[in-house]
Amino acid sequence: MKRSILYGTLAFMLFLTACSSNGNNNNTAGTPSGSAPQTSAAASPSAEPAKDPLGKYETPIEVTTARSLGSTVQFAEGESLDNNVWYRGYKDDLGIILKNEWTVPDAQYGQKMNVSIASGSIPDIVAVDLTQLQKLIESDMIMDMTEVYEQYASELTKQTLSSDGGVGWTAVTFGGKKMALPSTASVIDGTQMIWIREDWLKKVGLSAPKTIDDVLKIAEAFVKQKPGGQDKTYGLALGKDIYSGYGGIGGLAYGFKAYPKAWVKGADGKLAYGSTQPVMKQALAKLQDMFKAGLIDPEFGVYDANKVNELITSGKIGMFYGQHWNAFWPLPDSFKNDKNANWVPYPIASADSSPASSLASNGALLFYAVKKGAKNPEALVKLLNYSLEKQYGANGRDKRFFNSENTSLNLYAYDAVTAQDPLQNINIYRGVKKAFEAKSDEGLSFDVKDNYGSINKYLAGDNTFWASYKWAGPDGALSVEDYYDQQKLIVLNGFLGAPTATMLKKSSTLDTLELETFTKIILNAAPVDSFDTFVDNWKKLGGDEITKEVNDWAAAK
Amino acid sequence: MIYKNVYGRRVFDWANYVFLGGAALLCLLPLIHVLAVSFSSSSAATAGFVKLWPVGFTLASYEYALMKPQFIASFLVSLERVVLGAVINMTLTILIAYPLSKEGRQFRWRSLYAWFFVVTILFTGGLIPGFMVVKQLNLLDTVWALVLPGAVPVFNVILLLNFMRSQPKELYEAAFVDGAGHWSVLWRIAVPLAKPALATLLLFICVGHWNSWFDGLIYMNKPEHYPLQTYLQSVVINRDPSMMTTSEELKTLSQISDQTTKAAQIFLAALPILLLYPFLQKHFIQGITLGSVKE
Repeated sequence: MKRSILYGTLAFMLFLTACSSNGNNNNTAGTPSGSAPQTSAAASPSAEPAKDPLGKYETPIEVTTARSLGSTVQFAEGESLDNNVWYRGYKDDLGIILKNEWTVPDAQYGQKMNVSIASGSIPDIVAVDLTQLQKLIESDMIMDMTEVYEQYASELTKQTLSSDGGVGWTAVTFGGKKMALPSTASVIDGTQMIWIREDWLKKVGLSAPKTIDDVLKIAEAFVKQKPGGQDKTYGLALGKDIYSGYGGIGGLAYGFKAYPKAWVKGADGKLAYGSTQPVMKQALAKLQDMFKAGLIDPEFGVYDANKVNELITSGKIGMFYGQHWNAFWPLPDSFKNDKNANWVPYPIASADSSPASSLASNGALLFYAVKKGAKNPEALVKLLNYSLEKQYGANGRDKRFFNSENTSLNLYAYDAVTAQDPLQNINIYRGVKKAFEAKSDEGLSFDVKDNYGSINKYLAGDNTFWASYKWAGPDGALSVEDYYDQQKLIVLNGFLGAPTATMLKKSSTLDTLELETFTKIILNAAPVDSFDTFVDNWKKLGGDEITKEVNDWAAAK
Repeated sequence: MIYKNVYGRRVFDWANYVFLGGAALLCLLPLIHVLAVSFSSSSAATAGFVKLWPVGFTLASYEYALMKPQFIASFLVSLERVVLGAVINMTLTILIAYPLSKEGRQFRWRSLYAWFFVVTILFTGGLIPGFMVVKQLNLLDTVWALVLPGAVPVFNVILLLNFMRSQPKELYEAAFVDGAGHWSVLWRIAVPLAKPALATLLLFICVGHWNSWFDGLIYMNKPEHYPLQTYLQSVVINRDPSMMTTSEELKTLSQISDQTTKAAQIFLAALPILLLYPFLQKHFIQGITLGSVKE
């Protein structure tokens, strides 16, 4: 009995100390906020910067932001996301003290940002997606960047941000105002390609596919002859997420000039939803034929990307529609398991004799906005100028900010505000090609040299660089993108705005309806004609309204 | 004793064993699979060659997980939160359940107080108001944000309250006659009698604290302050590789999507609770049998 009293009192005392140290926390938290007005008062007289894109504030200013942290990012001893080469650079070169209000692993960034936005407490600079941008504008939380951008953006910044063909700016321009800066990314990297095991092709005596019928023939040969030596082989990899860039049906549909999930101009010049066009029905019918012939795994409806990887890396599947990054994942694992696995990417096949065009991505995925009332909105533009100067500036890449002797440190990941030259990856391929022709990488960009070096190491027998070879090498993934670019075989999504009001309300229903209908058709659980019922339902359940909204958006641009 | 020899009874017993054994196996197999993957080589795991026995045995993924500063930091945060949370939750549960287990004539506003607590089960402020309260109290980014918002587990209070009510009133009355006050009755009689219930609640609370991840995500501002499960969620969910654009990023892809390190971290994170279970289970099985003999 005595013991339990002792435990009870102990527990209670622990609780009391817990509460009291909590009180202390409150006190300490109170102190910095008390001194905050002083620092800001000291900063305000200096807020008269020259309009030099990379000019330095005489008295350093303090700007807050929020960061996402990649799971592989590491730091040198004593460094952190608050103290590293980039943040020191901002301070020393620009006079901007960048503070991270919060940091979160990249996979959880969107969720955390949603909470921040909903609770009305965002830092000065935020990186958001289009839906979040829309919310910020609706709740009047961010400022118009048009003027600040014009005044402060460097030539390089202006050039980089508009070199994606304007898709980034289209997305962030609301009523003629630039409400955010697009973190431009490649458009062409979103294209589809067919990855095929060249060693299997040779075994079954076929050549690269030109038309969808060729794809079918190859799949049939793979299933019948089982060149991988496994008991069960399938012709084409497919996962439950049928619109995934990897193991999806998109690439095959593009061959029929059907662009599911995208908005493309119809014959009447209006934007129409790709998934509901009659050509989509032909694509689904072809997939159903493939399923009936046993070329598609009947369980694909429950496969996630990991399961698709499993089939591909274990030699059960030798062909899939994918993207350029498959060279890094999961194909190297296939090569590790089977040194004969020679994966080669090809342009997507067409249903007829004309070459097929692939849909590209919408480019920028992130957009930088500035909180309304922030004292120095130009700091965002300057940070972006700074980042691009270090990456693509006239003096070449500033290696202090990108390279380190310890290769596991990815210094580039510390950069808070950045954009990518949309043609960066394709230029790597072109540079590498040039280097191979000249047998030297003299005078080429840093990225080219890096990849050229890796590819040569692979050619010299170092298998760890297989992925680089398959990516930027002579017949690597980027060569397919280069082909698309040269031949103008790219289709752009016609709708680049944030989800419209009806989309927000209805799209989850409509998407489910679409996915279920299409999956059933492929699985031969529903006749191909159920596509027509789907189109009717889609229109009735909000599709017509969405189409109108999308065309209104396009008209307003 | 006699009925055991009946043939039908034996068949029934065996059917029972087979059924329960099958159910146990269903729970166990996924765990063994994760364990096998964690000990396997990465390319074998990706290709799905690993079933219940490691292929290409290696400890590399454990080395990776245990060398990762973030894993260790999060582990410690989780331990801290379980200990603090268990102490706070248990204390408050006991202190609230005891008075509420009394009858209306002993405790005048009993039902009012009871409703005061029960209402929080039916209605919550929601995510954003909760976040704003924690923010305004300056608790963001401290361990208190993880333990104070759920300091009173009302459901547990109700369980304990009912358990205390089921105990014979005469015990308490005898104690009062002997001159004990409410404090002594609580700590000397009510709590010791409720040990089986308390062990169950402790297990609920520990598992709950150990497994919750969403509060860590919204209340913590730095990954190194994350509890283990929040960190684990960020490791385990699949990222869309289309989001990765530069060649530097692409080169990290295979590392991010590595099944074996994920499995190792999942297993390490599940281990403490797996170890806790047998110790507490003993208590409540004992409690149940004791009760049944007395009835």
